[in-house]
Amino acid sequence: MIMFLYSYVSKNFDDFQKYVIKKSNNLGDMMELNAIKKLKEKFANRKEQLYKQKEEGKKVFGMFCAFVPIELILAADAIPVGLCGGKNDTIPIAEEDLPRNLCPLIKSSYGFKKAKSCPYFEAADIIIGETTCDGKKKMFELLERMVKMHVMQLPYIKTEKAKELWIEEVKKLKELIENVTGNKITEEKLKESVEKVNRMRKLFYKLYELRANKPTPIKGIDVLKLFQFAYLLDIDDTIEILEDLIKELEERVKKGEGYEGKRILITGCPMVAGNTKIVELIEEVGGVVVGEESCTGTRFFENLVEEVTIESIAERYLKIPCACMFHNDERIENIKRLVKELKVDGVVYYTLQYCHTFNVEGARVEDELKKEGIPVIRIETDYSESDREQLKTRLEAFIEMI
Amino acid sequence: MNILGIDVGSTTTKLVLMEYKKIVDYKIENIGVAVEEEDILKMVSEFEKQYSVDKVVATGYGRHKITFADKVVPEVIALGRGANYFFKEADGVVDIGGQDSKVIKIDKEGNVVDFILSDKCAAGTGKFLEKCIEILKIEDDINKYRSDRVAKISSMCAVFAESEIISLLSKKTPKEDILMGVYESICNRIVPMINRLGINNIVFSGGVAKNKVLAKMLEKKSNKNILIPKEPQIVCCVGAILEADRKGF
Repeated sequence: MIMFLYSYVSKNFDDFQKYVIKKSNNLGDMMELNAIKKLKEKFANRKEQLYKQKEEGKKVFGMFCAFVPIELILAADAIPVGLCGGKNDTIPIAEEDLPRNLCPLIKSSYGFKKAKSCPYFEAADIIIGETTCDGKKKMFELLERMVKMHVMQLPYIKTEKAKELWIEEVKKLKELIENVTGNKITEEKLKESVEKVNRMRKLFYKLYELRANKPTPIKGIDVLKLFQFAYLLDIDDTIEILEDLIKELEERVKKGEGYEGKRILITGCPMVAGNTKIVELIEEVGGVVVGEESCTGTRFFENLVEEVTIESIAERYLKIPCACMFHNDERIENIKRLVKELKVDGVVYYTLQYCHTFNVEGARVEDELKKEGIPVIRIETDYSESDREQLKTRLEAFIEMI
Repeated sequence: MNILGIDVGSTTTKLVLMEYKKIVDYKIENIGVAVEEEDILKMVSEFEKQYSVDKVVATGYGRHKITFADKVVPEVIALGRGANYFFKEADGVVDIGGQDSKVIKIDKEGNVVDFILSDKCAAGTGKFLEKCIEILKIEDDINKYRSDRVAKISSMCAVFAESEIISLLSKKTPKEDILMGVYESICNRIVPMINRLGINNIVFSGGVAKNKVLAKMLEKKSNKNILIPKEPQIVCCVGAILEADRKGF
């Protein structure tokens, strides 16, 4: 069978591509990019690597969100690491303390700590939270009982006064990091880390540029995993993988290889590791995800830190167009821009159940996109598998419609 | 060319045979997504006794179960086409199925322009109605039960509605008043979806469309033109055939 497929592939590459995207993952593996293979290997070894780094005396800072300025953590020779929160398994234990009608991301991550089943949570010397949505900040009050926490006061509006407050918060974080690690964050160290994180961001920009090609050289599910693991991996490893990946993708683009199908932009809630349902479904029914306006997407890398100052770092992070912000117009502009840049056929607006901020903002985003004639479908779901078929029906019809 | 459409819904399976865009025959079986492929094959061979079948098209929640189908069409797309077949003036569809409710906006050719599906919960679906009728122990013709008094059922959740209905029954509220409350709760779920899409000439399809009292209430509450084909359950199946035919096999 494999031999047959192989000869078939060499004869008819384009048809095979369509086949891959429509059929199972096994066939996709034949085409797996080396960089993605490496990504998965690095991820498999991450736990061991992290504990080794810890043994060497490095401090670990756990974080929930794209708002934590990782430059500061890196400049103190410490490790920033994302926390678990993408699985259904830990929700029942979380619901012993938290209400049922709360977003699954919040419940899942709280449950991971309560069950002590997330290696990153357990490795963390301290957790950095921030006041994004109500659900999260109130959950932190309960989480504090189990783990050492520092919560940054994130303003919900982007006025000058708010910016001042945020700069103060970033300064406070710097002091805290210095205290926890015992390392001074010197200007030289900070310059190094700012440059490094910017380098990673530029590589993500480059990745997006390559995805704009028709056919697009990489599947959405691979990019999603890259974003998910980028929160967890050592930044040097992430950079290495990105560099490899870009080389490989440039090759594909040169040869005109890639994935056909309706080009989809995902926008909405973050999809943290473990949560891949929607992207899988889209790519099962003949779509291909070419971009994600999400914390596991553009909100993770867009905008560089312009100068090596606390103010400049603070400014970059406050630009993140999260739905917890009041009058979050930049987000709508970003989506429209991405639709153009990535030659998107349709937008999937993705909300986690009970995520009020993204859910409510969805109405505005939908209106604005429809005004421009951009097809959009709103999908609300949680981490369970029970609605897979229903979602498939919806996505299939949407992709057929556009 | 004779095309057989098979629509495997969550609670019923519909078979329609069309020849050159004319319905030749149809059948509705009371078995849904739990149906086995062998059973469907049996149904098909029943048809083949009388007619020749050139192509098979599958649609519905269980469409992927029919591995012998020549073409598979998603229900939403099929409903749009089907609605346009029965009523040329239609600009939308409301389909209350067993599993979910769909509200669809279509253009003059029956192409789907936009759609909303109810969330993953039984509220406003055929299942919800079925459950309520079961609790009310209504076994005869549902269209006989109507009333001007509408009992208030505040919960849209099928599970909570059950306890509300039981407490209404214990207060000796007449069955028909409660049933009207159930209809109202379904309408309250569907009407905002209709308004969001801004559709006016709406084909009401699916098994629930056979409920005349509910259809009347939906018309009144939405203040739109509700169009019901003689057999509302086959709209999706007919549409699937037309869509497959249009795209070619």
